[in-house]
Amino acid sequence: MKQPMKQMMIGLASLLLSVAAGAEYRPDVEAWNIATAPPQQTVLVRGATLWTGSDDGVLEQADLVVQGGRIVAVGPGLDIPRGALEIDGAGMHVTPGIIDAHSHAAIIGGVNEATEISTAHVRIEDVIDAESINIYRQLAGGVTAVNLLHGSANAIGGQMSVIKMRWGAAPRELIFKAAAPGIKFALGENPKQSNWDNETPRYPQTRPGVAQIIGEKFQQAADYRQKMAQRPTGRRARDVAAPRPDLEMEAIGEILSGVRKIHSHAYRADEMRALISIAESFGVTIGTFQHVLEGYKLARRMAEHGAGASGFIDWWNFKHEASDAIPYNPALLAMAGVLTGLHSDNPELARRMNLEAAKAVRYGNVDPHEAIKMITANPARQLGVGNRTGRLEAGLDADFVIWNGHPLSVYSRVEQTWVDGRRYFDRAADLAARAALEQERQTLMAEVLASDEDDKEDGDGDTEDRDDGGLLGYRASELAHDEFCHAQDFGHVQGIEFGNGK
Amino acid sequence: MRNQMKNFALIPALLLASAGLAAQVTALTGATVHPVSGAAIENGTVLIENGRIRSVGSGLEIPAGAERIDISGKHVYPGFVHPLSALGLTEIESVAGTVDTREMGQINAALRVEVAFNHDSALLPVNVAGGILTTHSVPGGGMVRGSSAVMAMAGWSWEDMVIKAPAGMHINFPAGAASDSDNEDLGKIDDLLEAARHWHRAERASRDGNAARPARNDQLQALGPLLSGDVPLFLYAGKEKEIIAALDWAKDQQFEQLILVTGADAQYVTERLATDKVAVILNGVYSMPTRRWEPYDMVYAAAGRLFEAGVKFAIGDGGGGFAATNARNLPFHAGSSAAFGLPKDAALKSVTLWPAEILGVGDQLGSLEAGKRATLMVTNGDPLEVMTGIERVWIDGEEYDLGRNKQRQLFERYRDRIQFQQQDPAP
Amino acid sequence: MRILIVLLAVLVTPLGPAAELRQPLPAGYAIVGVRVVVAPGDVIESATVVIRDGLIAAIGSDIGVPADVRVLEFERAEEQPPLTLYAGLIEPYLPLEVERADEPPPPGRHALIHPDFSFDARHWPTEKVEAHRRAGFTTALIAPETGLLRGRSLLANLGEGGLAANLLREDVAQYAHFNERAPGGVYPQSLMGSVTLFRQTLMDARWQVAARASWQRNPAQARPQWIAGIDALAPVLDGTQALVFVADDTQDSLRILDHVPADLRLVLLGHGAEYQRLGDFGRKPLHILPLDFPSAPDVKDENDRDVSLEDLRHWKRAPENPARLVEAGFPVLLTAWKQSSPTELLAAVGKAIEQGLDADRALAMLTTAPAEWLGIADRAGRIQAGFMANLVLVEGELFDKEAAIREVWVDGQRFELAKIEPPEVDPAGTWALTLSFSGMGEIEGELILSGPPSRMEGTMTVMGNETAVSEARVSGKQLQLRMQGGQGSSSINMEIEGDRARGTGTSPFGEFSVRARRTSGPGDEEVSS
Repeated sequence: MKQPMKQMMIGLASLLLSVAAGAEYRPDVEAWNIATAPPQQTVLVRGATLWTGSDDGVLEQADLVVQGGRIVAVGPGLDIPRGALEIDGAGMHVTPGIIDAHSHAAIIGGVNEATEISTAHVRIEDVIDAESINIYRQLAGGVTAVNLLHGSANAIGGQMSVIKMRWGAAPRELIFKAAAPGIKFALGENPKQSNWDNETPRYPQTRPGVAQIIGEKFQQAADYRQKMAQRPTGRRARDVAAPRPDLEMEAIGEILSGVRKIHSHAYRADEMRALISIAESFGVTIGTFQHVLEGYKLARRMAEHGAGASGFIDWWNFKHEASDAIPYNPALLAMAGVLTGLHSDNPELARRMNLEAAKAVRYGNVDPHEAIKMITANPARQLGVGNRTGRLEAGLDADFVIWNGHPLSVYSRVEQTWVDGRRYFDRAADLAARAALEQERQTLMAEVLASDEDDKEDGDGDTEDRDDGGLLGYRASELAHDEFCHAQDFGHVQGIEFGNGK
Repeated sequence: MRNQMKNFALIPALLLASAGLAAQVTALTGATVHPVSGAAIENGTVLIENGRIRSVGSGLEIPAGAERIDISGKHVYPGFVHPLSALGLTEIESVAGTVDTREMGQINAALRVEVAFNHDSALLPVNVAGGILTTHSVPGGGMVRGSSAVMAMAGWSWEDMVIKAPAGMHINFPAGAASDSDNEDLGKIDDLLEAARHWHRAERASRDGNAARPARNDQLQALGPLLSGDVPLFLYAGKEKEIIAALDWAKDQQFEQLILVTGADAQYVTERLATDKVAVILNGVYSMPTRRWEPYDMVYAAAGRLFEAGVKFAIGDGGGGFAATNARNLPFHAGSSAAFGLPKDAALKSVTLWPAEILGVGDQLGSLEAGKRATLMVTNGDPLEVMTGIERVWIDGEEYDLGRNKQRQLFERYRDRIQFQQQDPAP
Repeated sequence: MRILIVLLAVLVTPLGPAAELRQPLPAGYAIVGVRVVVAPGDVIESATVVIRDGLIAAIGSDIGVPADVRVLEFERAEEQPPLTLYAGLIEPYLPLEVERADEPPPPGRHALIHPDFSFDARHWPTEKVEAHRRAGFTTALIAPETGLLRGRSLLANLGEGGLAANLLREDVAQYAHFNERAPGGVYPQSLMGSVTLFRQTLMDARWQVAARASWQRNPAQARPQWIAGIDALAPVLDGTQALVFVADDTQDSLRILDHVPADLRLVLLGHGAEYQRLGDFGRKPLHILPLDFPSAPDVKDENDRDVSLEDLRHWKRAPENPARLVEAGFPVLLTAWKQSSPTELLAAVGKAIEQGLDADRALAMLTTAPAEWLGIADRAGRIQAGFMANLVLVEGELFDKEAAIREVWVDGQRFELAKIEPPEVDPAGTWALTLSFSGMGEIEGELILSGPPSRMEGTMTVMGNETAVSEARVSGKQLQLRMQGGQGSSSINMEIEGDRARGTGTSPFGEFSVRARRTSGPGDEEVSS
């Protein structure tokens, strides 16, 4: 197999340096098999085009210095710190790491707890799959952090978890602790179960029902908080039974107290207005609307309320409630003053979020730097980590991506992805590792053939029995998706439709 | 008397003039013209007449009476030819009443998609606005699926819009047959083809007067053009072993023209594909690698590897109802392939000229050449680039009203609304 | 061996002696002249063990044999491996599925939450007990296998007479497993739902104790609703009772460590892939490890593109898992759980030893270490005077590939698994069988055997159904076979004369007599009849 030789010239010097300095870290398809985390390095990227994501805009021929996991300086003509790895950025572009605010790419054991209309007590952080190959492949697409959340089976879904893409680390080490607590809501066709064969239907089955139950749950939680606040303490507590602690009510109570932000899946304008109305009656500001397909129809209302918007840009007409979705949505929302971001909701699409941002330029003439912000600084703010990541700015985490061309160009590629000042993806290292991995596979196969085991079966049976649409060897969590969101059509995960026989 | 003579003289002149109006020429001038079949032409001209491209070049003489459209600073490209799509056959994926791509049953050879092509589908203007100006719409459902059609993206009826029908017979090669030579499903297909051959022999014999007419059978009859070599076979196979088994089978069956519809695993079979001269429709570039342990760019790099091996191919987007709503993203599949090894000009060809040629309409579409249909677009840059805007479109020589795109309509309405609200604070 | 139901219309009278006509047992036994492994690393090459009243009365290389005991001495031929006596193996996890009621549970009870469950005598799993005993186990911790919070285990010897004769201790440990789904489609139907149910239940257990106590003290208030079953968690929460948590994979292990407070006595029931993330554990709880090493992936040829690298790696590395845990300082016990039959465990241990597990350590993991954990270190796990007479007599060494278990002793009761004489015949080859069930006619079958007489393998085909022979032993001229079928186990005992054999057998459908004729030898040469 010939390796593509295009554009290796520009980064050649940096490649040699990078391979020498990062020799310990070898990428692998299995996160547990990575012996050591990539080292945290002091780095100077010299003479690149920097897309800062901040008011500094785009800086040509500028330098970026990172040290100790943080960005130290951004600007032209910076001094190189002692011992720093110098990367020649001529012809290269650097952006902040991409933040995908709506992902199900690394969740074990089901993306939905669909049984009850509210499962606010359920937490994504209990089921993070640190081994999901999607983490590595999304790093290869420039993603440095994702928001893992529930599907859209219930009006109140559960507690989300923002993770950094620290490939190789244990599940709890992925959690981005600075992120603001959030909770997933869903409105519209999905929580009212209109698109699945359900043998045990539950209330509600209409949009007014969804709105009613949300209001009722808020009221219950308010009552619970009051009961808990009034419970006796000290010596009196011995004689009075405390109210039963209820994890669901606690979680919803956190919404009412402002600690936990709502991120609600929503398509139609009317349902978004309904949720804004309920929230305001409880003194709550919604964090974001997710997908927010008709957001443009209430953009000013959303801006006044203070909710952000995070959507996919050009999916439409896959359900009736998506028939008025337009790719100009982000442009209009931004114009109206809404904090606007783009997300993937799909592990394969998540690898090319830069092209989703480019669509915002095509549809509505969003300024390219603003488009970059829609996948970096804006989702960072929406997730409560705007002062930690999402921009190339001194003091923020060293989460950045080096591209071999304009980041919104279809012809560009990610060369390196850094998280916390550690190089988790390096195309050169990835290319170098491939031969070794394939060699290992061949050697093991030869051992199997030579062994005298006469009872050879397919692996552990787990991966083979599923109809994965032509894919082999994937874990269930890697192909997981919100089965209620896209009319249960699995093919979207691959971008390949089942109907074509794959 | 002289005045009357003048009037009489006027009439033939008017008649001549009206004949000239019917033969109106449109001249697009001042842009960089990208014929695709050749090098780009700076400050070029495209002359359109009677629905066809009359000529392409620089410094062309523009006939008198031509409509001149100055598009200086822009680019002219042939429209994208989508090689495998459900456009026209589906509207909203989750609403079964609007979906016509999933017939029941395994043998549907007699289906013809063009009869269900909804010429006013909302999906058409949206995707025309994205430069998809010709579509190869294909049947779905079962193993032997029926016949596809190459359709123009604008017209007053499907009959109007047919460019080529049947464009080919579609068969899904059973995956199980890759590891099992006695596969039951493949056996059914073999039996069907055998029965069809027999039926057509009997039909020919009866026409020659040597035998009675065979009983009418739509399925067997529909397989005629495939068996006679008049239309190609579109054979769908996924993984490497399936592709090899499919190619072996097709060879045994001696199909005259074979087009393989497949995914990234095609890159493992390039030698065979090149030697056997099998054309490939690459079934999408935006997919997960086939195997979990394969390199992350294995699918992105597939087209480049086909190109290096000299395999003839077109790039598709995976097809199906969900992809049809965004057929306009087809060029980006080609662009991403170019990021991972496919030369840029090959990428452009893989979604214009090469699909046209593979589909057998290469004499009409896919490039800006005299005699071909005037189905083209005006852009502000490279249309494989996502940021590029497509500004004007012609289909069969008539400019297409991009205002028909409902998404554009909603955009303009609500943009005005938001701007109004921002002036007057009452929401 | 499956036989059509139509043949079972008539009940069969057993061919053995009726239960009441039992011979009186001898006062005791002396096993003489065998190699004795008193405890791992403590071996006596030739010793005498005296058993009396279910206990070990004496053991030594030069002790005398009392006059009133039955002496057991074994003749060994030159080429035969020596007989070795070990302490009976202790199984730390013998799971039993408990039937779940069909109707939804009453209010206050969740179908997956039943920590108050306990076994009683009717649950005694006779077949499993026998299967474990044949594998050399004499004591087992029988645990509930269903639900999220499953209930309590009991410790018992693996003798005859049910729970009454064998119970050692009740309510030993509590059991839990995250990845459960509620029946009937109610909450929880996802892993995160199950984890949350667990968290809420632990909270409820603490709350309920305090709330009920408050109401007891002061009845002048609204009585708190009672949640059934969770009071049984009290000893777990105060650290007196172990909580054995079943982990499905490494991330499940880490999830368990996150959710179980450090002051609880956590034990992990492992999965075999711990080697992948040992450094991430933090705490080092006791691990009970199954040794169900994966079979090799299906490789068609050296260029097979479809063989998973991940599967290949785990196939290669799984056998070193126990050694890696020991190296990293984890206490480890072994279990026969997940083996297709308990006898497979010993071969798996052999494989683990090849990959670095110390052999004495391995033996400890099956004897002294579980005895310690279960609080019976003063009466089980060693061959020592005063300890229970739980023993296993092995031809060869326990973890050898060629080893065969000959006898198992539980509480001084002897279970002979095979007559132990040097083999005088070689039954390898293909045999045509005729099985006669009294009053039901005859059935034809075929038996194919291969391998050395001390460790044969083969298949038995009756009525078109093929079953693997799980055990085949030759002793003198006797061939003893055991098969495990869908309905239960069967055995055949035949005496071989040249190319013919006669004997008897048992099956789930009754007992039978059998005649056999060898049709071809091991090399497939036709045998002249």
